[in-house]
Amino acid sequence: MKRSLLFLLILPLIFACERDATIPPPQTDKKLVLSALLSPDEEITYVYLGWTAPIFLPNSQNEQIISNGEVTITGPGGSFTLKYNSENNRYFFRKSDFQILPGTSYTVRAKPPGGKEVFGTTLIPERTENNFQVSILDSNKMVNYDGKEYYSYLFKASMVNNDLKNAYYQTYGYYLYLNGIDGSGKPDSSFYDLQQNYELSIFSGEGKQGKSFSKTFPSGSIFEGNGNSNVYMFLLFKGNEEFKNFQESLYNYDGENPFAEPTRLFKNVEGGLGVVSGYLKEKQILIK
Amino acid sequence: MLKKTTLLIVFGLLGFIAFPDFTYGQDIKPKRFSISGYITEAGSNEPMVGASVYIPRLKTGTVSNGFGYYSLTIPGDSVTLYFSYVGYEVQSIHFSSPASEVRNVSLKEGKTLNEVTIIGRIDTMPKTAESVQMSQISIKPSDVKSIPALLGEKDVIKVLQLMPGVQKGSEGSAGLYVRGGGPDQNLILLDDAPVYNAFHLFGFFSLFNGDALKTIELTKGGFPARFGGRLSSVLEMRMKEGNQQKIKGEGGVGLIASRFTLEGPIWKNKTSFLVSGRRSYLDVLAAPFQNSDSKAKFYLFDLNAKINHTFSNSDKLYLSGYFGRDLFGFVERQSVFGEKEEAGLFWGNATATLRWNHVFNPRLFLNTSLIYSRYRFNIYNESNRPGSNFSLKYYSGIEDFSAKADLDYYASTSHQIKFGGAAIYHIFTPSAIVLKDASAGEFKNEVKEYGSLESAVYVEDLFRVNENLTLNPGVRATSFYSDGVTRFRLEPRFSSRYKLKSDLAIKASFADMNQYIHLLSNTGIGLPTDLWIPSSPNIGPQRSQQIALGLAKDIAKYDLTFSLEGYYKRMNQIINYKDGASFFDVESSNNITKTYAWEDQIVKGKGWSYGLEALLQKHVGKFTGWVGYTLSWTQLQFPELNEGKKFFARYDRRHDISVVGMYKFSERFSMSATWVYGTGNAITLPVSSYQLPQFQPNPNPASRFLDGFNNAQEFTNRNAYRMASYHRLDVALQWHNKSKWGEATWELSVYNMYNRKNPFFYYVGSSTGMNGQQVNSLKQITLFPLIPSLSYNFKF
Repeated sequence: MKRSLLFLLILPLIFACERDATIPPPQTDKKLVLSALLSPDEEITYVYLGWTAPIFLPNSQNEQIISNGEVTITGPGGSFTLKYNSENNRYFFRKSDFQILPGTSYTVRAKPPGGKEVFGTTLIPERTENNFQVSILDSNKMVNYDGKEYYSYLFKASMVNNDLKNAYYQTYGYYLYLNGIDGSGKPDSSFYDLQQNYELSIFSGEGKQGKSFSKTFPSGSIFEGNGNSNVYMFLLFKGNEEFKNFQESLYNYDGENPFAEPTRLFKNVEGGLGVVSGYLKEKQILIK
Repeated sequence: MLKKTTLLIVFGLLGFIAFPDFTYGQDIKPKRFSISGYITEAGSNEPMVGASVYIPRLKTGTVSNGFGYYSLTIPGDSVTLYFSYVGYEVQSIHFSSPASEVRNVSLKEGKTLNEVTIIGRIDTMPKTAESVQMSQISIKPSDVKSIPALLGEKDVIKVLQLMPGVQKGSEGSAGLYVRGGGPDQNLILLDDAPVYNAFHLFGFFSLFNGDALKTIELTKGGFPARFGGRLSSVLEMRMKEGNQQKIKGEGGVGLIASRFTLEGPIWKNKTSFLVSGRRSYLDVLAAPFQNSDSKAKFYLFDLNAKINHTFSNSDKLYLSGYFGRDLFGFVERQSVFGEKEEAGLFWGNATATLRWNHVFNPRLFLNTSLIYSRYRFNIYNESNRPGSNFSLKYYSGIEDFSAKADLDYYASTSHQIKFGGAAIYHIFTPSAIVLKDASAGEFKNEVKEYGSLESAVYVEDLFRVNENLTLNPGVRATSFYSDGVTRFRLEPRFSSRYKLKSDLAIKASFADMNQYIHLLSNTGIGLPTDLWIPSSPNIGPQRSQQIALGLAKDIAKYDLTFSLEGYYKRMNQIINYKDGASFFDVESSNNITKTYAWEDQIVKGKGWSYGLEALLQKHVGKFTGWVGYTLSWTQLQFPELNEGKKFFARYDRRHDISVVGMYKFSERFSMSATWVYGTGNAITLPVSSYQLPQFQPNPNPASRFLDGFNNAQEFTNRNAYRMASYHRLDVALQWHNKSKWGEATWELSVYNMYNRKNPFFYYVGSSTGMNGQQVNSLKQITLFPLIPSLSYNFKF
């Protein structure tokens, strides 16, 4: 609908003519891009470092990834220099290398060989009791063509905001799908998204201490084929303000409407682009 | 300080009402009497707004009000009154016996070509140095018809855009940007009814049909207390009342639309009517080329109608209305299976005004109105297939019911007091969805409406202190009730004029304005998707404070008037969409605790606008026209946008020049031309692209987050880049042919005479270079090259 409406609105442009602009295009130097999401609840933390590609500079769209940069993380417990993983083009550290703690500030610094340093600082949210729970609001029995019974569910994931500071919450739901047996004879399975739409739903705890928040996840018609399972997983992310701002700007990011003001991605990296933010994660597994 | 000033103004005004005859330096008061009545046009009885009444011996006078009524209270002695209006013969009436009298006056159209008529010291040329009102523009509907226009479609708002301090948005747009204010900050009134979306064809044309209009007046500063509700301007248009003496008609056939107006008496000199319609016919012209199974539809139409009845000299009743609509859609039929699919969008305004004018006594005039106004934007999609019916209707809009009363009290030659009040009940519908999907068993009816009550009372005094100094202090008290919260605001207003010489005056004004309703727009070009929303408990009214200083000079020798004005305007609580938000998101809040979902989609900020405007105008003679120049700056600041730094508004324009000329070679041939120049709009352009890892959690253990990248762009600071400057020359040649039945006019006009490729917007284009590398370049889209058009107009 949005696209077709936009098409109608810009229909007059069909009669318009295009030509090279008579004004010089804006010029800029390439900048560093740093992205780091820090959490005490992850075994491995990955950090991305790359270059921007100036649009009007010839040959600028080449390699943007920096594989030989220097990336360090600093916290109350000291510093650690991250290693580079060429498989996913990220720098990384393990929990055993450097520990991220709730309620603590960390700074990630990065620089290319012989280049200027950029950095970002973030405060990991405090761990609080969130009463993260998943319940079944409704269920529906279905019968397949082979006479086999299946159920679809409407899940409700809920939590309570007990953080006295501003915190932001997001929930995700997944179901386990059995792909079959892999080459080594082990069952091969993957979690798939339960979400019916991809609206960004972040619950803001600003001024809402003690308030609860819930989100429903209809399982819909996912139970087709032979790979169905009765295993569901739900995640609760509790992020800080940078986490929320970046998520929102990513969701709102739109460069398609030539009439509207372009949207920008949130950044909190000094001297460059990108985001350094923190979150906590909780998990609930439901087996029906 | 502000409260003190307001109190002084209020008590001062109350004092003047209580003791209207008080003037400085007068100890002995001779007996006074009043002369009052209506000034109308001879031959039609059409009331004349702003006609002058002058008594040379007393060096005093007045002008007729918005309904042609005048009243003068003068010392008891014989006097001669001169009634004048530009283009009309001056009429003098001698009153020898000192007694109050009602005297209606009809002015005849001048026999010469609009030349200045001079009788003794009375001339008919408008005097800018005389009026206390500053920052006001009056456009004659006849000028609208003479000035060349895009595709020959004459447009009131596009003529206003040629005046200093008033800027257009983008190429061809009929949007109004007055002294740095957005299009939401203009109160557009048609016979006192607010018009919420004044545009046809996605903003390219305004919806006002010049044939039906009698007066067009734009106030951009120094707002008298009777005006309120918007920050930047009040555009007040009044429809003709309809000829009370004979049937008259006029019309025109253009390239994209035709129009016809008929007016005349129902009961001679008592009751008259006016009906005016306009319709585009692109759909009719395209019909032969369209497949019967698949048709695109587009049309626009306007209908203005008015009826009025004069009961007596003291009572007149008027009923007027406007209805207009744009439709854009398509229909597809599959004849074999009887399937039909229809989709599109339409939008339109409807207004109605019931007005009663009553003269209580020669000194007290009442205009009271009941007003209805509605704007609605609809999207529809219907699909009928065997066994499957789907219907989606989405609409948004605003609906007003209002009542107002305005009183003019002609206390003395020194004081003319205006006071009154208004109450408006707004119903906002930011989003309403009616969905029927019979096959899926889904029925949805989500209509969210919000009601709010806006009210105001005001008083102002046009106080003629002496021959040189005139003041117009006033105060407006406003309130707005919405969602259990009532807000009050007191708005002091002040204007003054001091005559340095008989033809040279300095003027100063101050206006405090509040705007309780907001327009959400992420394009600023007047699209029908823009949404009106009320102030809420969390979003207060927008507020502006404007001061202006000016110089006004009449150059009678050359029939010229000149004005120079400087202004400074500060705006608070102005709103804007958040980056990336649009009208689709207004009811899909992520925050379930909010009553008003749109609050999550907007940001609040401040604005500043200041500048200098010069206008040299020639009103009468064979050659008429004006030269306008504006030097201005407009900056905005929102904590959430542009990293909280100030940025120039999209339509900030450092220099804006317009030259307008109309020359009447003879009774049969005339010519007009306009040339405009403007600094390029401030825009944001991308400067680099980059990748960022996706932020979607990966539930599978291989990696924590999905390995993909989001492609993003880095932009210049908001509106930090300038489009190429804009300039254009339009020319129109008109041949007039008078015959027994009336007058016909052929017009050949050329838009963009020297085919200037003005940019509409820019984008980044890509191509592959010699070495296979991608090469980006900045491209521009130009909308309107040289466009000739021919139109035929007639009147009888």
